[in-house]
Amino acid sequence: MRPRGAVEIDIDESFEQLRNAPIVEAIIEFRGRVQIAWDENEIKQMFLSRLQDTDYEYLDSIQEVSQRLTFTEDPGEKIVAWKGLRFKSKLGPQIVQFSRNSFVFSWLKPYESWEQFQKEALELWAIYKDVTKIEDISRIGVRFINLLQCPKTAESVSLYLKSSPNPPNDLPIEPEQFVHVDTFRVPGHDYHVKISTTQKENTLDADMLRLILDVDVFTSNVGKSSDEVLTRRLQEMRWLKNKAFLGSVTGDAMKIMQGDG
Amino acid sequence: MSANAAALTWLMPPGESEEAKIIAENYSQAVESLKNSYSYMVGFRESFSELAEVAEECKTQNWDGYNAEPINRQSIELAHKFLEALDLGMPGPEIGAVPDGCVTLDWFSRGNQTLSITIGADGTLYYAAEFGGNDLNGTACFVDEITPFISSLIVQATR
Repeated sequence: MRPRGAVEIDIDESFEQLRNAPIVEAIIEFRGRVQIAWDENEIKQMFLSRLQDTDYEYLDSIQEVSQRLTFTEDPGEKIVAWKGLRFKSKLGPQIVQFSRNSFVFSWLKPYESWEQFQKEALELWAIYKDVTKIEDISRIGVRFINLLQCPKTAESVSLYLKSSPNPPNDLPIEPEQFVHVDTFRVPGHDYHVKISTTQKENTLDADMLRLILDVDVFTSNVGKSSDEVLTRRLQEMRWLKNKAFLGSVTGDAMKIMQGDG
Repeated sequence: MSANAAALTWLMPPGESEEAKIIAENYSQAVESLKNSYSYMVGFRESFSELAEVAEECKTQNWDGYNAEPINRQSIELAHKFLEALDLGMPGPEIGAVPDGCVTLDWFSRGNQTLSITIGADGTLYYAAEFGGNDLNGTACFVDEITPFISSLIVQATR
C-alpha cells in the first residue's frame, strides 16, 4: 500500500497521439559494472558475432580521453582509453552503445511507438547482458528529448513552456539565452524526474523559436531485477515521462503539436 | 539557471541527437560558470590540496610506521574524480588513507553525525556512517557520478 501523498502511477493510461510530435530522440539506459575483462578486440568480436543476424551493423568505437593526475606543475599525459562500441540499425534511426559501464539505446526521429522502442531496447539489452554478464544494475534512465518549433511572439518562451526565463521586476531586459534544469523526487516511489529546457539557435527562420524540452526519468534503486520487473519499471517511467512532458508545455504549444496551431 | 543539488551531479544518459549535445553543452557551461565562483568551490579547494598531500606523504611502503601499503594510484584518481563529481556548494571532506593504500573521505558535523567513505581501487565505495547513534554501512559503486543515495548520506552527515 502506497504511503499517503504518493503519486499514483497508471501504466494503462492512454495518451493522445500528437500529429506534430516533437520527439527528436528517445533513450533507454541501463548502468552497471560488467563482470568480464573489457578487452577491445574480444568484446568487439563477441558483439559482432551476436549481432550478425540482426539489422544492426558496427558503427564505431567509443573512446574516453582523460588526463593522468599529477599534483605538480606538469599537466600530465593525456590518456585515451577504449570505452565501448556503437552499432546502428540498417533499417531505421536506432543506435545502441555498448560500454564498460552502460548500455544506451537511442531511437532518433522519426520515433514510432513506445511498444516498438521498449521491445527493441530489451532485445539488445538481453544481448548486452549475455555478453558482459552484468548482474547489478545501478541506474535505469528513460529520457525523451523534444524540439518544439513555435512562432516567435512578444511573450516568446513563456507562451509555450511553463518554465521560462523571467526578467527581474521593473527592469525591461530581454532574455537571450537560458538553460533550466530541475530535478524532482516522485513521492512514494524511488524515481526522480529531471526536466531540462533550453533554446536552440535558429539561423534559418528568424520568426520561429526552437525550444528543447528534455525529460529524463531515472532510478538508482535497481540491483538484480528480472525482465518482468524491468519491463514494469520502464512502463512506470514512461508514464512519468509523459505526465512531466504534458505538464511542462502550455495550451498554445499543445495546439501546435496537435496540428491546430 | 534553476537547478538543485541532485541535478548537478547525476549525469543524463548520453544522447546521439544534435539537441542532446546542445543540452549537454549549455548545461556544462552553466556548471563551469558556478565552479569559477570562490564561494562554491571554497570547500573543495582544501580537499584537493589535502588529496595532494596524502598522495605525497603516503607514497612509500610503511608510510604509517606499521607496514602500510603505498597509496594506490587508482584510489587517488577515483578520489579526485569523486571530489569533482560532488555537488557544488557542498562541504568538502577531510582526506586520509588506510593501511591497504586506499583513500578515505570523511565528513563530520557539529552534532554526532559522521560519514567515512573509503575509495577502493576498483571503484567500490565502502561507506560507514553514524547518525545520532544509528550505524549505517555498506558498499556502493562509483563510476562517473555520485548516486543520490551517497549524496543523501553526505547531506545528512553535514547538517
